[in-house]
Amino acid sequence: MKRLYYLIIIALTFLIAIPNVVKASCTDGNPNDNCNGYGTCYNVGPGDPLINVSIDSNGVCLSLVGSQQGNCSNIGSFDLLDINGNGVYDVYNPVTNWMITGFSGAKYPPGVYMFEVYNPALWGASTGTGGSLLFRSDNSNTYSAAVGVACYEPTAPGQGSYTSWSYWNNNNGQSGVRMIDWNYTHAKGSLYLANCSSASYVGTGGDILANGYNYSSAGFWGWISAGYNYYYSATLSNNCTWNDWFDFNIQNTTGAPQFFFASGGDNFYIGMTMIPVILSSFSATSGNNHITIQWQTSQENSNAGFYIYRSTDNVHYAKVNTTIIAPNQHNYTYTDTNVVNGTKYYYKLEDVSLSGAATMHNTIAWAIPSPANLDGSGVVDGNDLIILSQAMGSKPGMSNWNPKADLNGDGVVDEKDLQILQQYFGDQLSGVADSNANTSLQSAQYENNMLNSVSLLPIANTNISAPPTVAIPQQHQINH
Amino acid sequence: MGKLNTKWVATIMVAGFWVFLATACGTSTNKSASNTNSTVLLSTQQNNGNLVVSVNVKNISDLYGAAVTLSYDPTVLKYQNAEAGGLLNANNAQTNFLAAEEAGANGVVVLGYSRQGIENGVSGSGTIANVNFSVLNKAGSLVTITSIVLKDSKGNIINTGSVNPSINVGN
Repeated sequence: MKRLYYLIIIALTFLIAIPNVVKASCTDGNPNDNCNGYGTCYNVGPGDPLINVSIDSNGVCLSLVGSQQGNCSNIGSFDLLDINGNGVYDVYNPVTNWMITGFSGAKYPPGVYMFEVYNPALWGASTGTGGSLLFRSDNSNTYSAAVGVACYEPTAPGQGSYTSWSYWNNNNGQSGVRMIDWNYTHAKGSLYLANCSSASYVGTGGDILANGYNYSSAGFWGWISAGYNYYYSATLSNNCTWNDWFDFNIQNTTGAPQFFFASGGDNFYIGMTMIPVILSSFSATSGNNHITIQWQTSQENSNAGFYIYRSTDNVHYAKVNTTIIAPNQHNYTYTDTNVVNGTKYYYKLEDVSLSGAATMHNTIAWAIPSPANLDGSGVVDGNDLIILSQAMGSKPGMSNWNPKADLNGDGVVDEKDLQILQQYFGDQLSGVADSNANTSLQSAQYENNMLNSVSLLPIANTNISAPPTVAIPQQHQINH
Repeated sequence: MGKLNTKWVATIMVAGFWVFLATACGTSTNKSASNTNSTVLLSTQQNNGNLVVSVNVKNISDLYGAAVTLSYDPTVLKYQNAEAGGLLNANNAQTNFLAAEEAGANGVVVLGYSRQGIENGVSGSGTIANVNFSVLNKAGSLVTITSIVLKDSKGNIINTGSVNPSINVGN
């Protein structure tokens, strides 16, 4: 009897813990499904993906695929939003049909991406939207990608609503994607965590019921506060690897399905920006007819490489290297040989992300190429004089011959070389003109702020009774 | 076993020979030489209303060249010129002396003084350089050695025993 009792308890627990999986309700353009208010649907299931994601060492390759090209001809655009968090679309690729080819083969680095599909024909009055998000895990070198597809079905047109996506991090090794839907009319949704490669769900939140929450061992959240905001989040830290993806769907079950985002439009927020290169040092060293530029980085994310810019007036800069300097570890050296001794050159460094976003660092290093900087100290001083004096009178082959001391290169160290040294004596040949904090550091700080602002939902807390306050910076608001 | 011992003995002998050779020839990987009894100090004197700051060394051994950087308050002193102190001219050796205000740095004088060619260094005490300043006002002020490099005839840096880096030139 006791055993039977335990079995019943276990069975009930199992039933509660594994909710009914509702796959994308608006999956295939079926005019009879919940998304047929406009005869089309953006959302597809894993077997019929809207967005194909592949990742390799170069980054993430996005492409839209689908068999609904004919059915969804009024889908108007595909946007890749704001990779670097500056509030501007990084890619805008209007198309006229369902099959989006603009991103096929395009490589994007691990990072936060957001894109959407919307119907311009319905824009302003009512429209539907599908959103997806790719993201990178927060603070490690393990990359994750997530794809979310949403289909919103509020019950009545004209009801202002918007939806936000954000990166979520609890600073405890867990991170994921959270969707916040500010329209309280949603009554039901589903949340999927799926493995991209196998296209099989590895976890699901199942239906998200009003005034409730849902949590699965697969590691994602979905909960609905009492009549207010819906929060859905997922963590990929425990169950997924870098090529897993996250499929998110909300479906309306309360009334006639309609797509709309009338008054509020659809506003997307990105909760994390990529941290680009953080420059820890940048210097230029004078040499004879050359300048050596050296820099170190303390952090690089999705870095495609560097360009060096040069100026002689510290105003007008031109790119020095035509071929990008590929990223390596963290120490770099570049020798600029296209210089004239005695001329002061200013240098700046630009990093370029794998997505093409360029960041110019503010640190300016300068140097005056000179033959007289024998010890490389940056100042022509007494030590240079001693070095030259030791070689005075010498020619190649003699015991005190020092080719560096032969400043004019005539094969002998003599008074002429001493005169050249005298010309430069006391000169500072290199320095830093501006050591202000660079944009990378600002970005890093910004990212930290963002992570703090979205670290709201404890993953295992099942007693949430009120929605948390969500701090979403305005600069991340992207409106159509 | 006997062969092995012979081999080891030969190896040790060869190694010992190289150690001896290195010691006898003064070969060293150490690029600095200790001269712990030596002292560097500044002194001043008046000269027709100008102030002369002298850079002096005491008890130095095998001094071949000196590189000195002085700093001063440009609101109190104005750099005029500098002259070699004569210490390195011993035995009528050829020497080179250069002095200049450091470009872009207000109140910094760079000095260089060296023997030239293959020459031994100088041992003893004496003056490296005399730096002439005109006095702009009589406020108290310091002249300071901000860097000094002394090198011996092998090009090694001489570690001096002590450096008195500053001297008050006001009041």
